[in-house]
Amino acid sequence: MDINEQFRRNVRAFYAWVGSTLLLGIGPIVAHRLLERETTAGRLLAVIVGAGSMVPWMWVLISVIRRGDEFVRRLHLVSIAIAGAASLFLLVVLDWIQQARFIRSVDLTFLWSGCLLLWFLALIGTKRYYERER
Amino acid sequence: MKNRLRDLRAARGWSQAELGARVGVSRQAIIAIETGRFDPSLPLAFKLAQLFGLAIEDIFDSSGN
Repeated sequence: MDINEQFRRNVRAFYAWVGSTLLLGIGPIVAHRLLERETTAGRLLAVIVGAGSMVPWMWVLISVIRRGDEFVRRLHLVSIAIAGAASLFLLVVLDWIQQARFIRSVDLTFLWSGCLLLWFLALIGTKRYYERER
Repeated sequence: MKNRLRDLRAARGWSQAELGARVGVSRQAIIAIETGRFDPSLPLAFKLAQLFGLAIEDIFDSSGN
């Protein structure tokens, strides 16, 4: 592939990433506003908007992995594996904290936000690992 | 796996992005190969070897794992 074409593709992917990330940030805010209406339709719409705002972000991520080369795929495979294991550990720790009655229940928003953060950190860490001189 | 990719690339005056474009991978892939932390697939190793006109074992050193 021509280097300019590759650059254009990377720029397009970057804008898609920024757009979907903005949507990911705005979606929950709009969903919370809808929840304040206290109607069944409003609550239903809040679920659709809140959960649906993550779909474009997931789609962009999947397309980045699919279009990426063997290194990009390895990078995401390793980081997702690390994030999965770290998320499982987080769940186990929180479960035991809850069973020991230090907390009553775990907030699901905290849980998915934590998993997302772990995924992001795993991606950064994996990228740095491969870039570091042996 | 240790390799001579950085030296070979530098000898031709190519950037990492340029080398990546020539073999159809990203600049990040070339960086990771050059650090020795990412071993390329066999098809990519063949592409690199063909590009530099060398055998795979002339670029990659399997003894230095």
